[in-house]
Amino acid sequence: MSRGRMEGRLALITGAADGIGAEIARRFAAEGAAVAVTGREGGRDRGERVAREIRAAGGRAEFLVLDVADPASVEAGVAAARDRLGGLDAVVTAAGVGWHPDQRRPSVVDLADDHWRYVLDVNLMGTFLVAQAAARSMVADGWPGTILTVASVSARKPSGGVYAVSKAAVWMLTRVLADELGPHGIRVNAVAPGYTDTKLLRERALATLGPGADEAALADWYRRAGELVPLRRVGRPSDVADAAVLLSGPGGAYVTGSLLHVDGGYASATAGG
Amino acid sequence: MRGLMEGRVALITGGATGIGAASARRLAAEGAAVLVTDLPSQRELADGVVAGIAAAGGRAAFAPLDVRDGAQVEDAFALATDRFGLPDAIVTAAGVDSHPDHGFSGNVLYDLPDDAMRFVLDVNLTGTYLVLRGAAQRLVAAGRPGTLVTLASAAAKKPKGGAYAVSKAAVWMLTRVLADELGPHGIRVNSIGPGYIDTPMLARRSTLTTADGGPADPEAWYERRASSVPLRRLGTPDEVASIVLFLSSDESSYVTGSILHPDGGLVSNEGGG
Repeated sequence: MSRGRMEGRLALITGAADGIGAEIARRFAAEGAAVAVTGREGGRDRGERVAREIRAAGGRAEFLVLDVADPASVEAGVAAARDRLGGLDAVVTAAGVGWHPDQRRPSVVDLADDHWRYVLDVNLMGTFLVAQAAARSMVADGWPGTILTVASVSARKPSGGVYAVSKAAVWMLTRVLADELGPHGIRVNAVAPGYTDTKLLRERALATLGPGADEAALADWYRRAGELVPLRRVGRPSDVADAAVLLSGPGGAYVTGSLLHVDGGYASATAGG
Repeated sequence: MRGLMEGRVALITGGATGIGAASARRLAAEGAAVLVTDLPSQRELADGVVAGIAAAGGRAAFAPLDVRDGAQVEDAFALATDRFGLPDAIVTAAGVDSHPDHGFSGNVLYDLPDDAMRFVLDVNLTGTYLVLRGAAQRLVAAGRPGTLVTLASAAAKKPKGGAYAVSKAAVWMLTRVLADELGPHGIRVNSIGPGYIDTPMLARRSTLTTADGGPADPEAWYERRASSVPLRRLGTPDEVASIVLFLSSDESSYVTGSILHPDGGLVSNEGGG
């Protein structure tokens, strides 16, 4: 097992208080990166816990507030991370939402303007703002680096309404950035998780099951979701973290503008590959 | 330190040169026992790969294999099983870009003789199928998990190269069909779509006369290829072998039916992503 594949790297991860973002933060740190674990003020407790766990394991990490839906917060958060870490050369945009908290139905036809805008603000504008600030930092320093976006199987499959719209756009944003930044030695790729055992999936399951769903009903929902997938199980955040290390580390040295599905075969079987 | 491929048995087609050879070395360095297969005419080069692996403390052997011949495929599996155990990590790197009598620049479909078309499909598509089928039948019968990695190409998504592009698009769909069929058995099937990689195959293409009949200028040819991709350089066989390792190891345990492009951004820009 090759170790330290992120040795010496200076990483910023958005949405790192929970789920996939938190797991990527832990993995990058375990592979040797210094990590800015970022998230909204509301997630400070959980984000600080992630940073503490990393430090307890001998890694370098600290929590910084960065709300991707707020341009001023992105600017301040990226500047703070640059300042604390001494630069940036590995960025992961894991912050994302599935729907507006008040949104009742997934249909785009039924969607209120502000619910549409909320999902795009976080998933698409948020990814754009962070990637742009990170790219400017890397180009200004004259450093090579990597930017990894988190798309979704929904980037290729029209399910989930505005969520799918936002993730398809994130995928094209990734490709445009790969084209622009390739000559600077900056690689930009996307990872596309399928069903992954996160808070987002749990909330989606509970929303589908309706009030009063117990753990048994939830387990049954997960089992049925797994059956839709060739590998017959729901994925784990650690599966996505493995792909993040490949795409951000030396193993992905000639990979840019690529999307890697970490989905047990779901996109290949149901969404055109 | 345990390697990522410890306890695995790899069978690699086209293992004498280029991407196949780099993959053989890489999987062996991570602990796999490797059967390097290639045409009898490639024996000397293949022996060199095997000797290099042995010198580095790894385990490898050579078997002659023309992937178009089902009986030879059976023999190779028998030999690998006898020598190292049941192959559970397959890499199908054997491939041709054209019929030797017609050449890559003669790969114009509307004008292609039957035998030239059939030759490319026999090696690239049927050869890949025979090897994957041989592996899958044995793994399923033994109730064993495993990984199958096919070598497609950027040409699987970009319609340049006549018969070559047709064969590689078909390899990509073959990969997805098998991923769907074999997922429930715990066998993962993925593909790699390299772009311009510095291999003997590419070197041959660079020496062809130009489309308008002018003399070959390999240096200018390479320069044009390099400047056409976002990363502004050709890739190396080792950079493809990194992806082979990822897709063959447990680091990709939730990835199946996927294609990953070590191509410097070529497919994102010119092949639809």
